[in-house]
Amino acid sequence: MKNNIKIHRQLKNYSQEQLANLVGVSRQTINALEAKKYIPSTVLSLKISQVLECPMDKLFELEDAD
Amino acid sequence: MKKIPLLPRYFNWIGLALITLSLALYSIDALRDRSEIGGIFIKTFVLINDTPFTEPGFWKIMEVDVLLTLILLTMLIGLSFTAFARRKTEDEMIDSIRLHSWSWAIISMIIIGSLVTIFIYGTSFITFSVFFVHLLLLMYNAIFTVNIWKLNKSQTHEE
Repeated sequence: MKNNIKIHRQLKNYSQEQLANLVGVSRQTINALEAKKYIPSTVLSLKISQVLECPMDKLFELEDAD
Repeated sequence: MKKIPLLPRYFNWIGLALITLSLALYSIDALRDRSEIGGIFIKTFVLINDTPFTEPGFWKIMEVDVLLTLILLTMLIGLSFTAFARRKTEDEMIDSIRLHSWSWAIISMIIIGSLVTIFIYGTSFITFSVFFVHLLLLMYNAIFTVNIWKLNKSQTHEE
Protein backbone atom coordinates (compact mmCIF):
# COMPACT_ATOMS: atom_id res chain seq x y z
CA MET A 1 0.00 0.00 0.00
CA LYS A 2 1.32 3.39 -1.03
CA ASN A 3 0.87 6.42 1.15
CA ASN A 4 1.35 10.16 0.71
CA ILE A 5 1.75 10.98 4.40
CA LYS A 6 5.13 12.63 3.91
CA ILE A 7 3.83 15.02 1.20
CA HIS A 8 0.74 16.02 3.19
CA ARG A 9 2.74 16.36 6.39
CA GLN A 10 5.19 18.70 4.67
CA LEU A 11 2.29 20.67 3.17
CA LYS A 12 1.05 21.20 6.73
CA ASN A 13 4.58 22.10 7.89
CA TYR A 14 4.62 19.41 10.56
CA SER A 15 7.75 17.58 11.59
CA GLN A 16 7.55 13.79 12.11
CA GLU A 17 7.73 14.41 15.86
CA GLN A 18 4.84 16.90 15.75
CA LEU A 19 2.64 14.59 13.69
CA ALA A 20 3.55 11.68 15.99
CA ASN A 21 2.50 13.68 19.06
CA LEU A 22 -0.76 14.77 17.43
CA VAL A 23 -1.81 11.21 16.56
CA GLY A 24 -0.38 9.61 19.73
CA VAL A 25 2.40 7.40 18.35
CA SER A 26 6.22 7.52 18.36
CA ARG A 27 8.29 9.36 15.76
CA GLN A 28 9.71 5.98 14.75
CA THR A 29 6.22 4.86 13.75
CA ILE A 30 5.67 7.91 11.51
CA ASN A 31 9.12 7.32 10.01
CA ALA A 32 8.28 3.64 9.34
CA LEU A 33 4.93 4.65 7.79
CA GLU A 34 6.56 7.13 5.43
CA ALA A 35 9.19 4.54 4.50
CA LYS A 36 6.34 2.05 3.77
CA LYS A 37 7.72 -0.36 6.34
CA TYR A 38 4.55 -0.42 8.39
CA ILE A 39 0.86 -0.39 7.41
CA PRO A 40 -1.19 1.53 9.99
CA SER A 41 -4.41 0.35 11.63
CA THR A 42 -7.73 1.90 10.59
CA VAL A 43 -7.80 3.97 13.79
CA LEU A 44 -4.33 5.43 13.19
CA SER A 45 -5.11 6.04 9.49
CA LEU A 46 -8.25 7.98 10.44
CA LYS A 47 -6.33 10.01 13.04
CA ILE A 48 -3.63 10.91 10.49
CA SER A 49 -6.29 11.79 7.92
CA GLN A 50 -8.02 14.04 10.49
CA VAL A 51 -4.82 15.79 11.60
CA LEU A 52 -3.55 16.33 8.06
CA GLU A 53 -7.05 17.32 6.91
CA CYS A 54 -6.79 15.04 3.93
CA PRO A 55 -9.28 12.36 2.84
CA MET A 56 -8.21 8.74 3.35
CA ASP A 57 -8.28 7.91 -0.37
CA LYS A 58 -5.78 10.71 -1.07
CA LEU A 59 -3.55 9.64 1.79
CA PHE A 60 -3.47 5.91 1.00
CA GLU A 61 -3.51 4.08 -2.31
CA LEU A 62 -3.70 0.39 -3.06
CA GLU A 63 -0.97 -1.08 -5.24
CA ASP A 64 -1.30 -3.94 -7.76
CA ALA A 65 0.31 -6.32 -5.27
CA ASP A 66 -2.37 -5.60 -2.62
CA MET B 1 -8.39 -1.88 20.19
CA LYS B 2 -7.40 -4.54 22.73
CA LYS B 3 -4.14 -3.72 24.48
CA ILE B 4 -1.45 -6.28 25.29
CA PRO B 5 -1.15 -6.46 29.12
CA LEU B 6 2.32 -5.23 30.07
CA LEU B 7 4.29 -4.63 33.26
CA PRO B 8 5.78 -1.23 34.22
CA ARG B 9 9.11 -0.38 32.60
CA TYR B 10 11.25 -0.93 35.71
CA PHE B 11 10.36 -4.67 35.60
CA ASN B 12 12.90 -4.94 32.78
CA TRP B 13 15.69 -4.16 35.29
CA ILE B 14 14.21 -6.50 37.91
CA GLY B 15 14.10 -9.21 35.21
CA LEU B 16 17.73 -8.66 34.25
CA ALA B 17 18.74 -8.80 37.94
CA LEU B 18 16.87 -12.11 38.36
CA ILE B 19 18.49 -13.56 35.21
CA THR B 20 21.93 -12.56 36.60
CA LEU B 21 21.06 -14.13 39.98
CA SER B 22 19.97 -17.34 38.25
CA LEU B 23 23.21 -17.50 36.22
CA ALA B 24 25.24 -16.82 39.40
CA LEU B 25 23.44 -19.66 41.24
CA TYR B 26 24.01 -21.95 38.26
CA SER B 27 27.74 -21.08 38.18
CA ILE B 28 28.08 -21.72 41.92
CA ASP B 29 26.35 -25.09 41.49
CA ALA B 30 28.47 -26.02 38.45
CA LEU B 31 31.75 -25.15 40.22
CA ARG B 32 31.06 -26.96 43.51
CA ASP B 33 32.77 -30.21 44.48
CA ARG B 34 30.56 -33.04 43.19
CA SER B 35 31.94 -35.57 45.68
CA GLU B 36 30.18 -33.76 48.52
CA ILE B 37 26.47 -33.40 49.03
CA GLY B 38 25.66 -29.81 48.14
CA GLY B 39 22.71 -27.69 47.31
CA ILE B 40 20.22 -25.81 49.43
CA PHE B 41 18.21 -28.18 51.61
CA ILE B 42 15.04 -26.83 53.15
CA LYS B 43 11.78 -28.29 54.44
CA THR B 44 9.05 -27.52 51.95
CA PHE B 45 5.75 -28.82 50.66
CA VAL B 46 6.20 -31.30 47.82
CA LEU B 47 3.51 -32.57 45.51
CA ILE B 48 5.71 -35.37 44.19
CA ASN B 49 9.35 -36.12 45.07
CA ASP B 50 10.86 -39.13 43.35
CA THR B 51 14.51 -38.03 43.35
CA PRO B 52 16.68 -41.16 42.94
CA PHE B 53 18.39 -42.49 46.13
CA THR B 54 16.19 -40.37 48.43
CA GLU B 55 13.04 -41.04 50.40
CA PRO B 56 10.08 -40.71 48.02
CA GLY B 57 7.32 -38.29 48.95
CA PHE B 58 3.81 -37.45 47.84
CA TRP B 59 1.73 -34.47 49.03
CA LYS B 60 3.73 -33.81 52.20
CA ILE B 61 6.28 -31.52 53.85
CA MET B 62 9.81 -32.87 53.55
CA GLU B 63 13.43 -31.74 53.25
CA VAL B 64 14.53 -31.39 49.63
CA ASP B 65 17.28 -29.70 47.59
CA VAL B 66 15.75 -26.52 46.17
CA LEU B 67 18.82 -25.19 44.35
CA LEU B 68 17.64 -26.32 40.90
CA THR B 69 14.15 -25.01 41.72
CA LEU B 70 15.64 -21.59 42.58
CA ILE B 71 17.78 -21.53 39.42
CA LEU B 72 14.83 -22.43 37.15
CA LEU B 73 12.32 -20.18 38.90
CA THR B 74 14.50 -17.04 39.02
CA MET B 75 15.38 -17.56 35.34
CA LEU B 76 11.72 -18.08 34.36
CA ILE B 77 10.47 -15.03 36.30
CA GLY B 78 13.42 -12.92 35.08
CA LEU B 79 12.82 -13.81 31.42
CA SER B 80 9.06 -13.19 31.84
CA PHE B 81 9.66 -9.77 33.36
CA THR B 82 11.96 -8.71 30.52
CA ALA B 83 9.51 -10.09 27.94
CA PHE B 84 6.46 -8.33 29.38
CA ALA B 85 8.00 -5.05 30.56
CA ARG B 86 6.73 -1.91 28.88
CA ARG B 87 9.15 -0.06 26.59
CA LYS B 88 9.90 3.67 26.69
CA THR B 89 7.44 4.24 23.87
CA GLU B 90 4.52 1.89 23.31
CA ASP B 91 2.26 2.24 20.30
CA GLU B 92 0.55 0.07 17.71
CA MET B 93 3.74 -0.56 15.72
CA ILE B 94 5.52 -1.88 18.84
CA ASP B 95 2.42 -4.04 19.52
CA SER B 96 2.68 -5.39 15.99
CA ILE B 97 6.41 -6.15 16.46
CA ARG B 98 5.56 -7.91 19.73
CA LEU B 99 2.98 -10.15 18.04
CA HIS B 100 5.34 -10.83 15.14
CA SER B 101 8.10 -11.79 17.61
CA TRP B 102 5.77 -14.14 19.55
CA SER B 103 4.74 -15.85 16.29
CA TRP B 104 8.35 -16.45 15.27
CA ALA B 105 9.35 -17.55 18.78
CA ILE B 106 6.57 -20.18 18.74
CA ILE B 107 7.48 -21.33 15.20
CA SER B 108 11.16 -21.62 16.28
CA MET B 109 10.16 -23.61 19.36
CA ILE B 110 8.05 -26.03 17.28
CA ILE B 111 11.09 -26.64 15.04
CA ILE B 112 13.50 -26.99 18.02
CA GLY B 113 10.97 -29.18 19.88
CA SER B 114 10.59 -31.47 16.86
CA LEU B 115 14.37 -31.77 16.38
CA VAL B 116 14.93 -32.48 20.08
CA THR B 117 12.14 -35.11 20.06
CA ILE B 118 13.54 -36.82 16.96
CA PHE B 119 17.25 -36.73 17.77
CA ILE B 120 17.63 -36.69 21.58
CA TYR B 121 16.82 -39.72 23.75
CA GLY B 122 16.96 -40.71 27.40
CA THR B 123 17.54 -38.36 30.34
CA SER B 124 19.04 -35.70 28.04
CA PHE B 125 15.59 -35.34 26.45
CA ILE B 126 14.07 -34.64 29.89
CA THR B 127 16.83 -32.09 30.60
CA PHE B 128 16.03 -30.31 27.30
CA SER B 129 12.27 -30.47 28.03
CA VAL B 130 12.74 -28.61 31.33
CA PHE B 131 14.09 -25.58 29.45
CA PHE B 132 11.40 -25.37 26.74
CA VAL B 133 9.47 -22.50 28.37
CA HIS B 134 12.71 -20.67 29.20
CA LEU B 135 13.84 -21.11 25.61
CA LEU B 136 10.52 -19.77 24.28
CA LEU B 137 10.89 -16.59 26.37
CA LEU B 138 14.56 -16.29 25.40
CA MET B 139 13.65 -16.66 21.71
CA TYR B 140 10.92 -14.02 22.04
CA ASN B 141 13.27 -11.58 23.82
CA ALA B 142 15.97 -12.13 21.19
CA ILE B 143 13.62 -11.77 18.18
CA PHE B 144 11.91 -8.68 19.65
CA THR B 145 15.23 -6.98 20.50
CA VAL B 146 16.66 -7.70 17.02
CA ASN B 147 13.50 -6.34 15.35
CA ILE B 148 13.58 -3.13 17.40
CA TRP B 149 17.32 -2.76 16.71
CA LYS B 150 16.73 -3.26 12.96
CA LEU B 151 13.91 -0.72 13.02
CA ASN B 152 16.03 1.89 14.81
CA LYS B 153 18.95 1.21 12.48
CA SER B 154 16.82 1.69 9.36
CA GLN B 155 15.28 4.96 10.57
CA THR B 156 15.93 7.60 7.94
CA HIS B 157 16.68 11.15 8.95
CA GLU B 158 13.77 13.48 8.58
CA GLU B 159 13.84 15.63 5.46
